[in-house]
Amino acid sequence: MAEDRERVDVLVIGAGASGAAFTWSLSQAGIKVMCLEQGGWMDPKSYPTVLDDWELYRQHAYHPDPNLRRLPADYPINDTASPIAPLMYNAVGGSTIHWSAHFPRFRPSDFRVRTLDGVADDWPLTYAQLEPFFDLNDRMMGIAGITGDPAYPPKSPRQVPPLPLGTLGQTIVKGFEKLGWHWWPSDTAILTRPYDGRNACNNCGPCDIGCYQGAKASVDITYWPRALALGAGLKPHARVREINVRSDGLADGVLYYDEAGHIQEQKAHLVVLACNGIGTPRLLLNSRSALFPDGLANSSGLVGRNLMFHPYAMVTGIFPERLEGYKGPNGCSIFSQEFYETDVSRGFVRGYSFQVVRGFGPVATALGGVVRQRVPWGTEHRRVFDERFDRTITLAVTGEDLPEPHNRVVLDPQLTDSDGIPAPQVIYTLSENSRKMLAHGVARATEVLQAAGAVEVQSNPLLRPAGWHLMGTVRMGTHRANSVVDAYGRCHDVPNLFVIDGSILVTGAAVNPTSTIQALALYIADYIKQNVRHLHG
Amino acid sequence: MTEASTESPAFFAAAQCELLVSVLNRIIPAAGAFPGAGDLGVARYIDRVVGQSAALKHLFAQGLVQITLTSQARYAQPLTMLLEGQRDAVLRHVEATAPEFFEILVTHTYSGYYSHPSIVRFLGMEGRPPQPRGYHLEPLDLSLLDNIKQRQPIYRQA
Repeated sequence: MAEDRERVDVLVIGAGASGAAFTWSLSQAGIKVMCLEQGGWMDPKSYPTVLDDWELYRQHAYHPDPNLRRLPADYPINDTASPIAPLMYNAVGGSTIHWSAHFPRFRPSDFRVRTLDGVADDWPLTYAQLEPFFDLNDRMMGIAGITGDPAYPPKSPRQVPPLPLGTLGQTIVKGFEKLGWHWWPSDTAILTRPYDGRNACNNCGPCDIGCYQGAKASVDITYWPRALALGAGLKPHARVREINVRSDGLADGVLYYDEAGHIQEQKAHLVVLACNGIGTPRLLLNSRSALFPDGLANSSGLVGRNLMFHPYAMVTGIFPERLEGYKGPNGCSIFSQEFYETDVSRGFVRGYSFQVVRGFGPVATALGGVVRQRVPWGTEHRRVFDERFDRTITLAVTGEDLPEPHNRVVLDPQLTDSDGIPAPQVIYTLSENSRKMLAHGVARATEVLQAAGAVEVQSNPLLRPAGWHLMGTVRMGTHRANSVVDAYGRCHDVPNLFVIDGSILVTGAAVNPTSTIQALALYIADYIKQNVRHLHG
Repeated sequence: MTEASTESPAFFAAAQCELLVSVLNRIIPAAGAFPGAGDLGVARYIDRVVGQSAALKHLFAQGLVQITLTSQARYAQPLTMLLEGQRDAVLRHVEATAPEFFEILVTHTYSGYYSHPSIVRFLGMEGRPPQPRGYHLEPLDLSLLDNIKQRQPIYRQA
């Protein structure tokens, strides 16, 4: 295909949360951007929430774990050396297709952990520098919430009112109020009123198997239509094998497999990686050449290292009354940052958030929800099921993981995807600090559930299918000894190669990272727009 | 497979189906308005799932043989002829000796049973899929925020 060989200004790899925001921003400035995405377009009207057996789709086609979902767009991940399984979705929209759209920002202290707490590293930028891009991104995604939260510096007005609490939310609020602990309606990327041509949420519940209403901000329905209208190119079913480099060490473009499995080349002046914290280091490590024998942009040896998840503990309270927990977005209601900042008397540094999630469907209830305590079979089955169904509230303890070089993404020596490209392996150990933090969180979550009236509390000290947030593997920093990219996501070793996804996060904070990842992508896009003439290879 | 159906089983033979129905009725027994899982026809769901996977076919063929052998060894009768308590004793033995098979059997039984429209109807979720109608919830009562708004900032300046 001759058109493929034409050089574009900017080539973005990956059409998820960061790639979509970035492409839109550059397209606004008239820069010619092409995006390659290994997955295809989703059709919201095909999402399974309209079917009687909708819950079963979580077990295969909509499973968040690519190793279990195994759709053609997915690549396998060897996760046998990790207690946390990486999760992702591969499509236009990336993992925003199945995310729960919980949308907190990182806090000011998250960018200064070395200065404040003597751990990890400070970021080469601040909350204040990112704030305008948080605000811009909020307007593009459409955020439900309300200002006045004492856990954050004042924010700009939210686009639509906060999500309804329902009986479940009102019940857990009583617990937080009784203990005098912080809580606030979560910022969520889910519309409670029509906004920007999209429908309001009708509280159907299972956001994780795709939003039929288009109320949840997956980027295939927020950023992408706007970016395409501005002239951006987006090629689905295009799986990048490696980044080519010229003899002078600059990136020249990529080789990719098209939908028919034929190898194609796309040249570009700038190459931008947006493939998430596993896909991006995988691609760099797969791009070996005489100039870069250890993988592209890897003179520091840090590509793939410092992998951070958010380790999650799950705590479920069982209540005597029905809670109508199947109504409302299942991952979002209120959150608490009572235990967010460091208090060394707790025996660990940094902290965690509570995210209150809503009820489980009938199948998930029978199988034991996220605490995995399956309802017994036999004569006790009916009684125990009825005691639990629609009578549970679950607190997710979202712990801050610290960067550790031995937690890493490498290439698996044998495993490949369907195009024969070497697949990643994840090697990860939960740190002692994280373990203590989660144990503290489980104890506090138990207290608040009991204060709210729970008659029984069950917990899971470390949820395995919890690798939603993939961070730190191409870290940002001040120089090539401590990082792979600079404060603008630009690779120290390859000046026309940028990284804009969760890989560049210096630390992981204790909240869902998507709003911060997207704000960073817009911040980097802004830098490129202002400097594009000097950046061309 | 006790439910009238023109669908023929994908994998299980008639005798295996009969045994499976009997087993399912002990995994989720009938209670009040709720039918047993075997009587509801969950065996058909399991037949469909197992029929798609060579590994599951092998596991289930062996598992059902083990149920039959255990029943014969303990009570000298097929499971379908036993009293409820005897059937449960056989299944507990198989659960202990073939845990992988039994766990998958229970998982698929629960999945087939609790995704069945007639069961969902009993559970008070308005008896229909979540979409396209969704559910109604009242907006957040903002007065609930009054206490928390009085707090000093709890974030560190940086």
